[in-house]
Formats: sequence, structure tokens, C-alpha cells
Amino acid sequence: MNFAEFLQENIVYLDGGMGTLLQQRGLQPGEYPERWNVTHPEVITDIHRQYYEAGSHVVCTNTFGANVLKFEESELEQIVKAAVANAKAARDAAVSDRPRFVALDIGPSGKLLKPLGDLDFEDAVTVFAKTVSLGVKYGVDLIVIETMNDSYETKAALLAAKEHSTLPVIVTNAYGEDGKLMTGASPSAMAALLEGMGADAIGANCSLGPKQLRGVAEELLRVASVPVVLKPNAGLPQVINGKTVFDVSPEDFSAELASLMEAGLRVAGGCCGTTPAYIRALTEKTAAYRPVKLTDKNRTVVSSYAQAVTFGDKPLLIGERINPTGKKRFKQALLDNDMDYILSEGIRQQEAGVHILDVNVGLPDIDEASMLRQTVCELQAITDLPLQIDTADAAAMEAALRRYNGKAMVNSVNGKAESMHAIFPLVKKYGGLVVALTLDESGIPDTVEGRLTIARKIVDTAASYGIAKKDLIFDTLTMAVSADATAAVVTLESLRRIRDELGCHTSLGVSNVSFGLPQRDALNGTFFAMALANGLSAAIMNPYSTEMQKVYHSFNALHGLDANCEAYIRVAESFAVAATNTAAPASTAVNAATELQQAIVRGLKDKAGEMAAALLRTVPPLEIVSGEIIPALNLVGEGFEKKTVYLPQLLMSAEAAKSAFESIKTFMATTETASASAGPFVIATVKGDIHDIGKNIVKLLLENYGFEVIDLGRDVPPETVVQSVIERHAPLLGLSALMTTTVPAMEETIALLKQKAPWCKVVVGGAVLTQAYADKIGADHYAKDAMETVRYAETVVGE
Amino acid sequence: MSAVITTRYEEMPLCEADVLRYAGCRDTDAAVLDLLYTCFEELRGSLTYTVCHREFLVSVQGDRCDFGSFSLHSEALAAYLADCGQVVLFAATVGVAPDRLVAKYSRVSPAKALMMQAIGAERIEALCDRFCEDTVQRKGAPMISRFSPGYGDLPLEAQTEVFRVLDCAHKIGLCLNDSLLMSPTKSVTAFFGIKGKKDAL
Repeated sequence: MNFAEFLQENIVYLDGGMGTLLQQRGLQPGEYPERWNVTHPEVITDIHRQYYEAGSHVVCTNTFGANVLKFEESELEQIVKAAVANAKAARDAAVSDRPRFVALDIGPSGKLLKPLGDLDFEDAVTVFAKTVSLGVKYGVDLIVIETMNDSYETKAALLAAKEHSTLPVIVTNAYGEDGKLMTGASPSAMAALLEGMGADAIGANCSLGPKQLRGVAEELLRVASVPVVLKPNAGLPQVINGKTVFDVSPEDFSAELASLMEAGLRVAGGCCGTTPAYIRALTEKTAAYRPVKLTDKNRTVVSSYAQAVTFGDKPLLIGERINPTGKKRFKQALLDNDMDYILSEGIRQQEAGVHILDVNVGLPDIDEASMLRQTVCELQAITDLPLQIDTADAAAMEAALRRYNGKAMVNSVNGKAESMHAIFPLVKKYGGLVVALTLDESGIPDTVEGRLTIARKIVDTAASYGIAKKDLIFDTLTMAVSADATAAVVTLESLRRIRDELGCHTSLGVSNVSFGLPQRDALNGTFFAMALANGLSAAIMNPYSTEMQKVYHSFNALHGLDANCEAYIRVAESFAVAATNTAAPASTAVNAATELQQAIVRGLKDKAGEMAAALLRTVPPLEIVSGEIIPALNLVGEGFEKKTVYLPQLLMSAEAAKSAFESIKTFMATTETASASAGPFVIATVKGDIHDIGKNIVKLLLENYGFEVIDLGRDVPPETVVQSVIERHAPLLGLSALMTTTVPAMEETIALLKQKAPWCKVVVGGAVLTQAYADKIGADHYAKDAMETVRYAETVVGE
Repeated sequence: MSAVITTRYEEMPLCEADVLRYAGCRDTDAAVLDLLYTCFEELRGSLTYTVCHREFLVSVQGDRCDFGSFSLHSEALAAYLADCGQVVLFAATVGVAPDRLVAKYSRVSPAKALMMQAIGAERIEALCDRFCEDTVQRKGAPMISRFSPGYGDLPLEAQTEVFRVLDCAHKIGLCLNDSLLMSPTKSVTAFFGIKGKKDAL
């Protein structure tokens, strides 16, 4: 019998701890246990055999840390080969009447993935792929990915297992006392990610004892449709009389796991501190147990690195603002690779209460696959909202889905054969909840029945790719009511029937309905209310629209979805403010000018933006910059130089100035006024260094003073820096390094720059730098703080 | 030598003065304090205070510090450990939350990023202080300062050894980058000497 079949019908017992037993047999601290496969095969085989004889169906090879980051490739192969041979020898020698399997054990790489650490996602996939391929070569029955404390690394390992084998895969994560992974994922977020990618069983191991992991196991049992796994530690280690002992006995351990088996736990074993005695106690105690039948939890869910968002509990809001369509300022940001602007749209929408962010960066002149991948990576570093990846380009979709840290919403597929054949394989591989549009080769049907027929076709085709109905969400397409009086009615009736007859969730972009009509918000709001009443599960909408927020919160309050109307009461105040704002008279230009300067000096971000917008009605943009913003900034800058103003205050003022600039940029994007820029300034934190606060402060101030700043980010290789300087013929380069260990990278970058782009002046800064050091590594200037960098930049451009 | 023990702490009181010092503020006003507490409220729920440690008997000869299963050469560390019979080697982290929020606000609000950074720095120092206080109490030893790789002539390369013997990645999720910096960044590794004690562990 193969393992996948065995898993479906049986309670599966895994093995217990290895490390503690090896220490008892002489493994030294800091010594790699994996090497013992080669040097002490008899010890490893003996431990495996004891587990099989205690009742384990599955024994994991002693390869927890066997990867190419720790071992040379040749040694790695030797280790995996020996490890599999040891497990097979134990399997064959063991006295046991149970089916016995050998699992390739894969633990964490020991590195944190970017952007939190320095291991690239694709490099992580490659690392795991090497170990997986060796496991396959030497003939394991399944793969166990375990003790992962980061969702992104877990995804990399599972992807490697799926791409390099056809074996069943069990995935278990190490949850902390807060019930989350170290990098933030909840059990339901992990379940969404792992089930989406096709893990055969999922669960928790290590870090805590069975009692403390009970909550995690129960949460997984509630949400997971695949078998749930638990491999706890034997409690917590304590030092008693100089000896390390774990505080949970085999009896208590097995009692806890047995009670979870009654609740549905299907796969059980032990981790640190457990021994064959624990596994024996467990198998004996539960010998008469029958497996609880697996049930499809039928959950429609998406996830981020931290949280799962479920459809059906309450209508969800999907923010539509990360999209260049009809937005000049956004298009400009895309063309300039102005990631800060794009990201701030994400953060603002989250603050406005959306549950999911739609991400669309399609523009004719840009490389959509690379832009979409970059945007997804950057967004998921700063927001814990799930993303809806929105593109018509299948290559861009794959690029983004591959790097997405969770289970994404996929926008979209439609009833055309070509579309389904391009998108469904991606969803099957990377997981995803697909938005399905009810249109096909013959267009958008005018009738409800026509749209339902397409929906049924999509459901059937998805099933043939192994994609369940719960992973489809139908968009019955909102058409302009100005063009067709029945448009809204057909859309609404279609979505109600899809919900009732197909049992699927629905989503709509509501704003199209009002296309071509005045006061669009009024129509959009009413249409949104009607759609909600017809059972709409999610709306792609503008969260800044007061009208839409009013409808959403009123609907929830009226539908009993808002306990004590709390959410309604919380937001109702902003409805009132919005109403007064439109009625307020515009400030006079003189007042606005004074107030703008004061707002910048006092660091009032929102006020500065508003005052600049007010001034723009009467004063040309560049006059506002030279007459108001720069003088205010100079006042603060001088205060900083005289030490009457400190860094946080300087930054708050700089942010207020930036907010004023943002109003001006938006104005200029709409009026297409040419902007004046004081020459490109390339900045970067050097290779190996991941600290970038200082660099970001410099960037903000330079932008305030009108410099166009090309920010290459952190951990940037010398070649990339120099390439960028050459491309833009930049007169100035700023480099930052925080640690003594990364200063050599700075020196290397400067050397390459002087050789390839001798015209460019280089200014350096960072905690460990001094004038002497800067001179030694060949910098043109050392700036002790951000203001000094601005002053130096002005002299360079002045020349 | 003992096993590696992992300890999780509850939140300790925030030292406002230290945060302001790390943020480059010698003076303060209502706006800065408001910023400080807004940031702290956003951060505090996601902070985790974890330490893993291991105890060693140590003997020093010249610049060689012998910890039994490994040894290091450093005059400064040798001087630091001169009167110590035991040493506690520890790694502490407050988790990824400061890194995430610093990254987020670097893009939209450098003032908040600076403050998050300063709070993170204060939090990890407070955690180390707390761990050392507990340790001297448990050991009945006098309080001394701690000593980290990178101090004096102890090179940052010693981190590789520290990470190996403490198994930091597995125990507390702390990883060492190729550049020998740590992720999460708000983390500390250090030796903490126990004056006098020569008894077996």
C-alpha cells in the first residue's frame, strides 16, 4: 500500500525525538547530528528500529538540517544516502506487524527569508529542491517538512517538494505560545496556504508540549479538510540537578494526544524530548481507536503571511485603488517606479477598512510580470492583508503567485477555453481563490440563464483540473446602466442564482454601473446595497468613498452582522465629518500660505497636504515649493543643525512637507505641468547590510529639497549601484552602511564606481563611518547626518 | 555545560528616556511623546521576549577562553572572564515585529520608522537586562556588564560559533545572515560572566 492511500483510511503514528537520544549517546553540542548517519549508522538505525517497534508507521530520516547551506553537495548526498539506508535497514529489521514507511525529513534552512533575513525565496526553493531530489533518488516513501516557523520558508519547501517529486507531503509548523508562527501566521492562515498548494496532511510540531499546542490543533481541526498532524515536545525542558528533563511523562503525553484523536487528530508523533517509550504509550493507549472520518470543511478562504480571511461570514471589501486605470498620479508612479506611492495606497486602504487589496499594475510601457512581482513582494512586506492579484497576463500572474506569501485571490479567469487553460494550472500549483467572470468566446450574455450556463461550464472545467467549487468566486459583471436599462437587474439576479443554485460565493466591481452618469457615488451606493441584499460576498470598491462606507456599515448593522452596531457607531462620526468638509468655505490664499508653513514646522502631515491643495487653487505649484515649503524646511533644518530641533521633529516636518509635495504632484499629474527636478541622486544601502533607516531619512530630506531620488533599497550589490548611476548619468551617489562588516562592500562599490562612472560624486554615511574611514575608502564626502547630505548635494548640483 | 534552555518573558516597563535617546532626542515635546506612545501601542502586542541560553564552565589561559566544547581567542573576552568560573552564553530577541513596522513606516512615515527602531532597541536592551538580573539572582553572583561578539578584539565571526552552540534558529527563530548580522535585527547575543563560581553545572 502506498502512503497516500494509507493516510486516507488510518490513524498514522509518526516517530519521536532524535536529538535528545543522540546526545545521550555522545553527540556533542554544536556537532551536526546529520553526520552521524555516516559515522554512527548503527546508532541511527537502532533508534529508528525502536520507533518502528514502538508502533510508528512512519520514521523520519535523520536529515533535519541536511541542506546545501550547511553541507557541501557531495557530503550532503552522502548524508541523505546513508540516512535513507539507515531508516530502511531499521524498517526491515523491526519486529512489527504494521505497515512501515520511510519519510525524508526536511527542517528549516536556518536562514530567514528576505525581506526579514537575507535568503532569497528562489534560493530557498533551490536549497530544499536539492535535498528533495536526493530523497527521491534514494527511495523514500514520503516527505515530512517540519518545525518551520515562517510561512514563506514553508511555502518554499513545499514548492520544492512538489516540483521535484510526486511523493505525499506532510507539513508541520512550529507555533509559539501565542498560537502563531514566529513570523506571524495563524493556524488558519497556514491551513489556507498549505491546502491550497496540495499538502497531504498539515499540523504542528516542536516548540511546546501537547497541552500548550491543543489550541493550535483544535483550530486546525476546525478549518482543515486534510488530515491534521501533531508532534509535540515532551513538555518544556528543565534543568534538575544538572540534567535536562522534560516535564510531561509518556502517560500524560499519550492521554493528551488520545483526547485530540477523539476530536479528529489523524497523524500523531513526538518531537524534542520524546522517546520510543512515548510512542509506545501512545500506540497502546489508542490501539482501539478508529480514525475520525475526514470532512471537507468547504471554506472559501484567502490568506496573507499572518491571517486567513474567510468568505461568507460577512461581506468583504476589496480595495480597488492599486490600479492605474483612470488615475494619472498612479500611472506616473508606475512609470517612475515610485513604489512608496503605490505602497502608501495599500496602507491607506487598510486604514479605510478593506479586507483584501486588489493589485493591478498593468500599463502598456512596463514589464508587467516584473512590476507585479515586485509590487506583491513589497506590499506583503508592509501589510498583513491578503492580496488579489489582478492581471490578464498569465506570465505576470505566475510570477506574482509564485512569490506570494499566502493563498492569493486570482483575478481573473473567464469561460473562454484559453483563459481557463492558462489560469487553472497556476491555481492548482500555487493555490488560490479564483475570480471567475461569466463571459466566454461569445461575449457577455444579456440573460441570467446565459451567465449561469457559463458559470456551470467554469465549475466543471475547474473540477477537471482538481480545483474545487469552494475555490471559485463568481463575478457576474457589472455593466453601465446608462447603456442598458436592464444591466443592473441581470447582474444582480445572476449573482443571487449562482449563490443559490451553484452554492458559490460572488464578487462584483460595483463602480462600472454608474459609468457615463453624473453623481456616480449615489448610484454606486444604491447598487452596492442591492447587491448585498442579493447575497454578494465581496465588492471591489473605492474605500475612500463615504457613500460606499455608509452602505457597507449600514447593511452590516441592519443584517445583524455588527454586534451592538459597534462598527457602525465607530465610523458614523467620519460620515458626519465628510459632510461638513464639503460645506466648509475654502481658506483664503494668505491664510493657507501661513498655515502651510506652520503645518510643516509643527509636523502636521494631513494639515500640510490640505493647505497645499487649498493654495494650488490660486498659486502656481513651483511658487508654493520655493515660497512656502522650502523656507519652512530651512527653518526646521537650521534648528536641527543648531540642536534646538531633534531628529524625530525634523522627520515629522519632512513628512508634512512630503504630504504638501504629494498634493502638488497630484495637481501636476492632472494638469501635466512639467516638474523641475534637481538631478537624479542614486542612493543605496550596501551589499550585506539590511539596515536602511538612515538611508530612508536621507531620501526623504533630499526629496523635500527637490532632488529626484533613485532608491535602490538595501543589500544592493556594487554592480547594480554602478549600473543605475550609468543609466541615469547621475551626478551623485549616496551609500550607507551600518556595520563594520559591510564597510568593505562600500569600498568595493566606490572602487567600481570610480572606474566605470568617474563623473559621479559619492557621499557616504552610517553609524560606523568617520571622516577618516570615508577618506580611506575613497568617498568624495562624509556626511554625519541627513541635513549635511542635503547641503552637500546642493553644492554638487550648484557646480 | 548545560542544555540550551529557552525562556519567554512578559513585557517589562518601557523606559521613555532610553527610547528618546535612541531616537536622537535630547529634549522632548508633546508631539514627540505622542509619536512615541502611538508607535509603542502599535508595536507592543506583537513583541515576543525570548531568550535561549546555555551555561559553561570556563577557563582562561592568556587570550584563550575555553568553554569545554569550544574555545575562542580574544584578549578582551579573556579579561572580561578573568574572575569568572562560569559563563552564561545567551541569545535574546524581541521578534520580527519591529523589523516589519520599521519596513512599513520607512515607506510612508520615516518619523514613525525612527521611533519604532528606537523602541525596538530599548526593548531588546530591557530584555537583556532582565535576563541578566534573573541570572545573577539565580546564581547569587554580582551583576556585571555583558560581552558580545564584536566587542574589543572578539570578532563578529565568533557569532558563527555562538549560533552553533545555542542552536538559535531552532530555539528562538534567530538567524545569522551571511554578513554576520542577525535577523530579526532587534536581537542580542552575549556572554554573561558569573563571578567566582567554579562549581559544576
